[in-house]
Amino acid sequence: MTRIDRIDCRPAPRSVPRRTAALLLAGVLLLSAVPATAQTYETAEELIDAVAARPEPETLQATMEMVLTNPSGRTLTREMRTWARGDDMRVMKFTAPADIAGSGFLMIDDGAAQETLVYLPALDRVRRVAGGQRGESFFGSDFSYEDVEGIDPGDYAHELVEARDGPLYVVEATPKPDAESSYDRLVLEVPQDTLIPQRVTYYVDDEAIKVLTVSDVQEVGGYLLGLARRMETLDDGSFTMIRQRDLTLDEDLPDEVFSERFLRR
Amino acid sequence: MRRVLLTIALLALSAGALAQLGTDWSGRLETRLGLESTGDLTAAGAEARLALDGEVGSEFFPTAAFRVELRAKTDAATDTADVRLDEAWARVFLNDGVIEATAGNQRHFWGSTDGVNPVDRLNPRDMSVPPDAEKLAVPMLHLRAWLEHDVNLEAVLIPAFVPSIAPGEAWRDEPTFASPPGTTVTEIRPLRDERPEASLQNLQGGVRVQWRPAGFDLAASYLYVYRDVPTRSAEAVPTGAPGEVAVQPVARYDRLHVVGLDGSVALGDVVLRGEIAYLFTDDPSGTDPAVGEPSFHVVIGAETPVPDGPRLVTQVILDGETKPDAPTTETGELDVAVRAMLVATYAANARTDLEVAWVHDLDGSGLVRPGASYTFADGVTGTLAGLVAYGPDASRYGDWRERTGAEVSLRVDF
Repeated sequence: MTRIDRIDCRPAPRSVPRRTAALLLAGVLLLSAVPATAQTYETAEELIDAVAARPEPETLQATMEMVLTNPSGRTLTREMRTWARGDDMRVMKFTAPADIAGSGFLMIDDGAAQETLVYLPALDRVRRVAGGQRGESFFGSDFSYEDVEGIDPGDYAHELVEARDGPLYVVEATPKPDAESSYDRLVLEVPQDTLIPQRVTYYVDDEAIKVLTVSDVQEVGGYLLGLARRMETLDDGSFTMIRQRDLTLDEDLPDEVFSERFLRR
Repeated sequence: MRRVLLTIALLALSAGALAQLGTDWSGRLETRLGLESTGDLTAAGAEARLALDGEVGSEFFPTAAFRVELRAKTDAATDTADVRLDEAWARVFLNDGVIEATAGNQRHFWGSTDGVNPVDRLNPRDMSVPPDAEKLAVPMLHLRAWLEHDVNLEAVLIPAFVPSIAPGEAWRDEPTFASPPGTTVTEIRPLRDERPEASLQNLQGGVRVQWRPAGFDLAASYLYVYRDVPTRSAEAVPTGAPGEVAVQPVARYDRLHVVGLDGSVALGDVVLRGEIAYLFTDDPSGTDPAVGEPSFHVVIGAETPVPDGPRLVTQVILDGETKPDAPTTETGELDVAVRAMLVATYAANARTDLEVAWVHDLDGSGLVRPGASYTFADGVTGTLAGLVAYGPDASRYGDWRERTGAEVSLRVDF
């Protein structure tokens, strides 16, 4: 199932789903004017299915700039390259600054199990990231490994909280008992026009701890993508902004890219 | 060796390949100041590193790569200064990168556990200021093959022996010498260093095979090397005068077989890691007093995060050695030392990292190393680190009590 809210771009449909199009067409025929706030999805499942069913590129390559801003406004900048195939295979390698350049991250989810490996060139070691470590900061940023890996909708139970003008859907996602999540629940705000969650609030112990905001939504290679993601840690106000550029979509990536061999290279 | 390196470099840098050559300069400037509790300086110096990395070929798997790194270091506290070639290697990727062959000055790391890796005897170390022991890059030929079924195979050939840099005088235990009955020591001669010469019969090498399917990894290794830290002994040499002897200290480097097993597995929130190594010499019965004794080493550790807290690594380290023949001990009696290690690391925020490492030996001695680093700007990091040693005299760490102190450093990576 398609993951949502991961830090690389998620595509939105180039056209609305066929069933949705049919409904809209029927509405146009029956009514002289369609309200701007016409609500297409009545339940959370319908909405999440639509989000998850968005067409997406088979593969993605991009350069990512990650800017970490501390509560006093001072920044640190990291740059990395990322390669992804579908939702379940991803490699990220830092290219700057010099003290972390060469560090890398590999995530593979074969359906039965998910494995996360980190390569630290100073130690020349590939280290395994255990389940409990997925909640730790991703290389000092406000994103955690879990945030980077993305959210598998199948791991969550969803409830439609409200539909605002736009329309904009507010959905609460609660991890299922067997899901390995460091969050108690998420609240997603999904605009109907893009089906890209534009804001996700992360809760632990009923307290909002982080907020992800997706912006700079553009059409690239026929896909609608959110190219900027901002994760804010609410208790201290620090935030991390990730911007993507130099995107290459749907270009073949060899299997070996998603391997320890490539991670070490 | 030099010829092999040159050949590979020429292959890598052929005219066609040069068209696709990508290079990258990087470096580091660092200055350090260390002070012991006695008021003595342990470090007051600076280090500069400059590296050139290059690749020839496609984005994913190049056809060749190289690295050259120069290091210059000066330290007023230890009155040392040197410029040396650190890593300097050329690598070719064969069969679409399935095989990597690397020749030149290199350092490699084997093993799975943190900080203590008994299966790894590939590179000598700079132990001039213990407990730091950075690996030294030395000439070797390294082959790695990425095989099917998540198996990778490494083979290493080390043509010339390079010993570790011995601890400085302040850290060194000089061997004791009991003069033969009825004799008087009149002279202590300079150390005779019997390091193996570079020759075919003194070649060192080893192999390691690792299996890394999803969820765990397991590796077996074998090394045939020289002990990088000498076995020290002292011989009584008659001077010619009746009843007088000279002491001749000797440093010998034993031939060593290292059989190792290491691995790790993720179990829920915990990653378990372990290593077992058995070391034996060409004198396995321990009859030659100038040759070190066989030994085994076991490290078992677990890594787990504390929610909203530090990441903890705990390890138990067993070092066992058969005692040498002696009238008071039975042959083959085992002397086992047990240490426990706890390392807590905590990223307080994007700029501040805290760490404390504690090693405690069952002989009652131990070391505590707290440290904090702060990133002032991209690539600019300051570090404050301490060392506290405790324990009775003649224990593993007790003799280092005077070395208790702190060090501050500033590093710029570019």
